[in-house]
This record gives sequence, structure tokens and C-alpha cells, in this order.
Amino acid sequence: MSSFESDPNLLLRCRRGDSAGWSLLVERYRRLVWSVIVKHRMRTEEAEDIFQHVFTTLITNIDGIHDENALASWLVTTTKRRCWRVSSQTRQSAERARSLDSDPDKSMDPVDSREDSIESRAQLEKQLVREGLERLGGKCKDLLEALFGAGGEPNYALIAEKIGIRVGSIGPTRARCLEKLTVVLSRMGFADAPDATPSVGSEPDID
Amino acid sequence: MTNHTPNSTPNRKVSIEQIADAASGVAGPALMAEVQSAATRDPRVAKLLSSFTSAVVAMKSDLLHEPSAETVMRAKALGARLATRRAESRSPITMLGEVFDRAGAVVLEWLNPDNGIALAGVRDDHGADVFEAVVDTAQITIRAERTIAKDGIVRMVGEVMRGDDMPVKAIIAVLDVDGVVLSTDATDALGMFAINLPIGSCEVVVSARAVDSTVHPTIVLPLGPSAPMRGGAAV
Repeated sequence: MSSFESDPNLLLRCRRGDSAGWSLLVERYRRLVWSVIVKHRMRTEEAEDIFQHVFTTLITNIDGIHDENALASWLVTTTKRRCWRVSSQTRQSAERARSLDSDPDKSMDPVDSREDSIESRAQLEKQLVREGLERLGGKCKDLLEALFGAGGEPNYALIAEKIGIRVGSIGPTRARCLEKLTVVLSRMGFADAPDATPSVGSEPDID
Repeated sequence: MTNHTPNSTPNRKVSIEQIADAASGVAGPALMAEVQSAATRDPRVAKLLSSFTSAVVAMKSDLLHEPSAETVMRAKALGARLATRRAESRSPITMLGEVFDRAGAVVLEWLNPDNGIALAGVRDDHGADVFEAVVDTAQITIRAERTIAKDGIVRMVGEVMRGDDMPVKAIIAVLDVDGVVLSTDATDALGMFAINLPIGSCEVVVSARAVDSTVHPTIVLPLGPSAPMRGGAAV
């Protein structure tokens, strides 16, 4: 397992003005924030603006984050609110000539909708998987990212060369790495992960 | 595609490798059926298959959620600048600077409480085009927007207003990174101004006048973590 820097530690570094810590924090959460923006179907220029706005809001309000272990949730909520606001402003601007019967902010705001809640949970679970990979580190992280994070059909020969294992070892290594990942995820509270104890060979229907 | 089961049997145990193959989408139809069959018989197999599949789906979908490198770089650069400033004193001037930083500008200065005001900014991101700052002590509000005209020239258009929405007389200057004044403008009767901006980094300094027309000396705060303080930047 790699040494994984916790969110509270990263936040502490940011509070002290450590720009390297800030850089790590942006790296860790860039995909989470972007996934929320993509889900709201923002235009490219708006998306980039929102992305920057969310992270600068974080750094300027960093003393106000009391639950440091809920940073991911904070980022999701902040990003959603910003998306709604920008969408509302865009729509108001486009429809200024017409009078609106309903409050655009209200109609845009799905904060209580079940669908939105489920979507947020899915985004947070994806973030957990990203963090799980970071915690896993080493060859397992490299292999799983090469297999599943590169898009298209994986090229086993290239992956084997890059990771430094035989092509024939990819299958067994993938299984071990996925199992290790699910153990890590279980400890992190990932809903789909089984109990933290590895299960290979000990269960009735698993060889 | 791999298939670890040349002869599929109904109640055969499955290995963790086969479960991983199924979750990864590389199992053939026979192995897939066998793993699914095992999953229906044994909740532990079902759970493992589900967790493997969830992790794989999450990893694959990450491709859709990758912001551009430039976007990430800008967020890091702006945040790093703000983070550094946080370590410095939390003076009202610094906080005013943060307001403009958030809007994509780095500010600047404001020294005298009796209506003298100046700000300077570096515009290095194309995402945030509008900013607003309220200087409570002087009861002055500055609103500005950067616009890119069809001729490609970037301009900053804005207004300087008092708290009671009356226009404020002010002079606006654009300085390059060496502090050389590139262009100036003055607010009109409505408190509005428009000024051309160069490509790249620059400072925008606003010097407002008090009611008695006095122009107060101004200081431009450092733009970066190691930049020295500069005084007397009033225009």
C-alpha cells in the first residue's frame, strides 16, 4: 500500500500556505468536481469557470470547513450550487425579454430530489474508488488504471511491458488487485464492497 | 477474451480470477454464465462480483470526468497564490485582494479610509470575467467586466460607484509587469470606464477621488508571494 495523505492533513497544509498541498488536493478532487459539472451539462467555458470557482471558494473558505472528512461532499454541494446559479443566470439572460411564470432558481434547484441524491452518491462512490486506487498504489494501481482507465480495449502486451510483468500474469494479478482494492474500499465505507476480510478460497462457491 | 471454463458445470465453484474476468468484461459467455450462476447460489460470490463490477465501472467512467490540463493548471495556480496569501496577514487589504482573486484578478490596494482607493489585478484566466468589490470604509463599489471584442482586443469595462449609487470620479490605469503605464481612462459622469488590456499579465490600478477631489496616494500590493511592496503607484 502507498502512503496516502489524508484530507485533513492536506487541508492543514493548504491552511499553512503550502502550494504543493493545494496542488495535491486539486489533483485528488478534479474528477469529482468535473463529474458534477458534466452532469449539469454546462458549456465548456462555463464548466471551466465553475471548476475554478469551486476550488478558489474552497481555498478562501478553508477555515470554515469543520468536517474535514466530508470534503468530497462539500465539493459536490458547492459545485452543484454553482452550476445551478450559472444555469439560472444564463437562462435569465436568454429569456430576459420574456416574463417567467416560475422562479428559475426554484425550478432549477433539485436539491431535494431523490434522483439527484442518488447521482451524488454515485459520484462520491466514484471518488472513493479513485482514492482507493491511490491508497493501493504500486503495481496494482498502475495495472488497474492501465486496464480500466485508458479507454478502449487494453493492449496486454503494452501493459505488461509498462508494468513489468508477464502477459500471462495480467489475469491473476488483476484478480488480486481488484480484491485488494475492494478490501481498501470496504475500509473506506464503500457500499458495494464486501467485508474487509479477503474471501479467496474460503467460501463454498469460490475456489 | 479469456475463458477459464472449457466445460461448464452447473454447480462448479468459481475462482476469484474468474469473478474478476466477469467483472472486467473479458469473460466469455460460458464463464459469464457460470459466474452468474455461482452468484445466485452464493451471496458472497454475488457481493464480490458486484464490488468488482462497481470498481471497474467507476474506473472506466473516470475517462468522462477529466477536465482539461489547462483548466486544472489554472485552478492550481490561482489557488496556490491564494494559499500563499493566506499565510500572510489577514488585513482588510488582503481580504479585498482575495475578493478579486476569486474573480480572476489579483488586487490591490487600498490605503486611505477617506475615499482613496486603488486596485490592481492580473487577469490570467478566461473563466471569470466579472468581478465586484465593495470597500466598506470608503463606501465605494467597483464592478468590472472583461470583454473580448470582435477585433480581438480585450477591454475591461466597469463602474466605480458610491454606496448611494452615485458615480465616483476615478482614474484607471493599466500597468505592465514592470509597472509601466500602458493606458489610462477616467470614469465618466455615470462612473463608468472602459480600458484596453494587453495580452498576458497586467495590473489595473484605480485611483478614486474623495468628495473634495483629493487624490490619495496609493500602494499596489504584491502580486505574487515573493514580490516586494511597491508604494506610490497612484496615477
